[in-house]
Amino acid sequence: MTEKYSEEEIIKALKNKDSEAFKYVYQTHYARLKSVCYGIVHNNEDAEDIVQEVFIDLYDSVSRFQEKSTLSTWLYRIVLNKSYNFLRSKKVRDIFSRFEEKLSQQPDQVEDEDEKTRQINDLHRAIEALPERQAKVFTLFFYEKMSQKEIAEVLKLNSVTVVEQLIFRAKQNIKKTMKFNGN
Amino acid sequence: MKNEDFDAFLINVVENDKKNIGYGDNFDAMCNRLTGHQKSVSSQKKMINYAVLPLLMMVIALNIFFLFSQNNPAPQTMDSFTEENLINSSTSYFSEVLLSVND
Repeated sequence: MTEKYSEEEIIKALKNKDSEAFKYVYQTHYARLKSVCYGIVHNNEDAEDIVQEVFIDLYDSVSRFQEKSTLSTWLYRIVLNKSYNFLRSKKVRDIFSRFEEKLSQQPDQVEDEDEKTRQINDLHRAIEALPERQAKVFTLFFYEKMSQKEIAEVLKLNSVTVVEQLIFRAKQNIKKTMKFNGN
Repeated sequence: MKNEDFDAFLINVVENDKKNIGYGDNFDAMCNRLTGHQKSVSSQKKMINYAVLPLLMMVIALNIFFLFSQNNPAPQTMDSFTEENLINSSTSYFSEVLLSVND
C-alpha cells in the first residue's frame, strides 16, 4: 500500500503507537475514507466527524487488528459501519426535528436550487432510499471507484457476481426514484 | 434513458457532488480530539478505580455478609441428625447412602 512503509511495517508501527506512522496512515487514507463516508451521509461536517472517529478508533484498537485483511479494507469496514450507525441515530433525531420544522416553516419558503444541486439532492435521496448493502456497494463503486473485487473483499461478499448484481439493482432503484423527480 | 446514458449521468452527478467534499488538513484537529478522548477515557478509568470499584467491593462484601448471616445454620447437635434432616441437607448423596445402610 505504501512507498514509505510496507503493510507489515505500518501495522507494527501503529501497534507501537508510532505517531509518524499514524500521521502517514491518516494522510494516505483520509481522502478516500471521507469520500466513502460522504457518499453515505451526504454532509461534509458529519463525514469529517465520522472519519476522525475512525482514526481515533484505529489508534485505540489497532492492537486488536488480526491482520486477516489489509489495513485499508479494515478501515473501509469501520467507516461504513460508523456511517450507518450515524444514519440510524440521525433518523431518530430527524423524526423530532422534522416535527419542529413543520411547526416553524413558513408556507412561501421555497429553496432556490440550481440544476446541478437539484440533481445531487435527488441522488442523495435516492441513495438514502436504497437497502443498506446496495447503498454501500453503490458508494464504494461510484464515489470511491473501487473495483468489484475490492468491494467484495470490503463487504465480505462471496463473489464478484454478487457485487455486480447489487450495483445493477442499486442503479435500477436509483433510476426509478430519480425518474419521478423529472430526470 | 438508456442504461449507458444513465451510467454517464450518474458518474457526472457523483463527480459534481464530490466537489462539495472538503479535504482540508484536519490532522491537528483530529489529534486534539484524540487527546481529549484519551483524557476522558483515563478519567473514566480513574473514576472506576477511585469511586466505583470500592463501592462495588463494599456492596459485594455486604452481600456476602448477609448471605452468610441468613443461611448459616445453627450448630448441629447429634439429635439433629434425624432422617428428615439428612434428606434435606445439602449432602443428600451421603444421606441416601446412610439410609440404604439403615434399611
